[in-house]
Amino acid sequence: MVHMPVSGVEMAWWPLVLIGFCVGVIGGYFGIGGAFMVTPSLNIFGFPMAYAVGTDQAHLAGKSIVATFRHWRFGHVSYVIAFTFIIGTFAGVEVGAQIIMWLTKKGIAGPVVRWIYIVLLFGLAAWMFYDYFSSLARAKKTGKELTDKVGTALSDWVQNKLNVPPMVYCGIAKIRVSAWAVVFIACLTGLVAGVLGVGGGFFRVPCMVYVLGMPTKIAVGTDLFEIVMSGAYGGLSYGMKGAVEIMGATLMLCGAAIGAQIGTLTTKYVYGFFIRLMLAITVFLSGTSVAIKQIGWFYERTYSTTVSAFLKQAGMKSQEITNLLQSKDKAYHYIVEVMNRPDLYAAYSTNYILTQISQFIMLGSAIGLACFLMYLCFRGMARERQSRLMEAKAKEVKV
Amino acid sequence: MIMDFFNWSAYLAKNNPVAYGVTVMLTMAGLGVAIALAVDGIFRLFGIHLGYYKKEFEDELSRKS
Repeated sequence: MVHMPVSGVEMAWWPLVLIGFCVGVIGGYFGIGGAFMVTPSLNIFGFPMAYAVGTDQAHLAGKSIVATFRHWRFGHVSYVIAFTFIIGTFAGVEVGAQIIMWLTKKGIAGPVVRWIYIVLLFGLAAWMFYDYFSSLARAKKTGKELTDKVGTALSDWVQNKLNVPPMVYCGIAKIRVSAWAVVFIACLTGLVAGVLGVGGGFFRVPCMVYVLGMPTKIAVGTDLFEIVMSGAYGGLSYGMKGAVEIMGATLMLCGAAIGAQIGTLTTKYVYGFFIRLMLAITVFLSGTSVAIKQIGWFYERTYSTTVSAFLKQAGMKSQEITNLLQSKDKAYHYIVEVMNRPDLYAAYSTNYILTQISQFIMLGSAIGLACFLMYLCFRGMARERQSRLMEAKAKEVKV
Repeated sequence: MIMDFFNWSAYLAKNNPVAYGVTVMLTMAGLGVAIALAVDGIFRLFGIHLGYYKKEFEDELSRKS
């Protein structure tokens, strides 16, 4: 057990390294930050929620540097697109943050955000699955191997018809697009990220691929470069609010640094299309997790107002009430023994179980995906080594 | 020594939030760069090829054009 000096909590060090490692593998492979997986996973292991988001943001900057460096060595990073994207992203995030503040004032931020999440994640997953399987069927018909598809009807229109100056040319991806199109997409993805309170990589990478027509691996590397900037800003911003546990972030970064190597190396051994399929699965699992959480909300609203009002009357502050409701034993004590409302406790209990299931889906999918990607990486390395040895042997025979 | 740094950071978090924010950002960026360079060195040391792979999207692009 280690003592976290900023938050003051005692917890084991290995869950932080494990979560960092898994998200490092996934992030390096997909080009996403993985905040939607990290926050619930940290919470399962007892990391305080108040510090979970800030600590994740802080470690993201370091992890993304490690992953971007590797992608840069592979030639996957388009700086011109990344810098143009950053302008739009920051503007979009700011507008999204203002919307979320307005929704919070109205008291509907939680359910609205979850509904947007559900529609977006399932919609995106459905589109990506459709794209993958329809391309697979076409490839089977033509007998061509399915590697990576560059461009869609929409991206063709953006690249060829939308010639509003200034134009940006991405040499690596060999595409020329209007800077306004890039800024618009960045604003949109930034807006979604701001409203949902996440980095938005899971949404940005598909937009780069399907709307701008970037090759999948370049979209992954470019998005990671952008995450370096947004992660650094997030780390600074949350740090200034005192919401970062620097020791936790360092432990996570240690795991993530190793994981990111495996994740980025795996992109070397798989085709771009396979990356899209895996991302679709991840997005679908995330959608399922949020949908379960939303079902829990229907139970939550039956008890939360009454219980909160009672606890406020007893002199508790909002944060104390939130902390209390995270502990099942304490909630039982107040709702059943003090308030004498077993009906409300039944609703609380159902919501508690659904929240746990939702969090375990995220943690399970993070660990499962990381294991599978590790397998792909080591299999690819072994095959590459074998083919090099065979080449060397063939040369020897010739000599 | 590392614990001293974390304790000093915790002190900053309570007394000078701006400095703590900058410390967090610089620590993470510094560690990220250091780890990236160190790992790259290790890969080179063990002779693991990193720049050798097939850019399948280039085939696709040439087919398109």
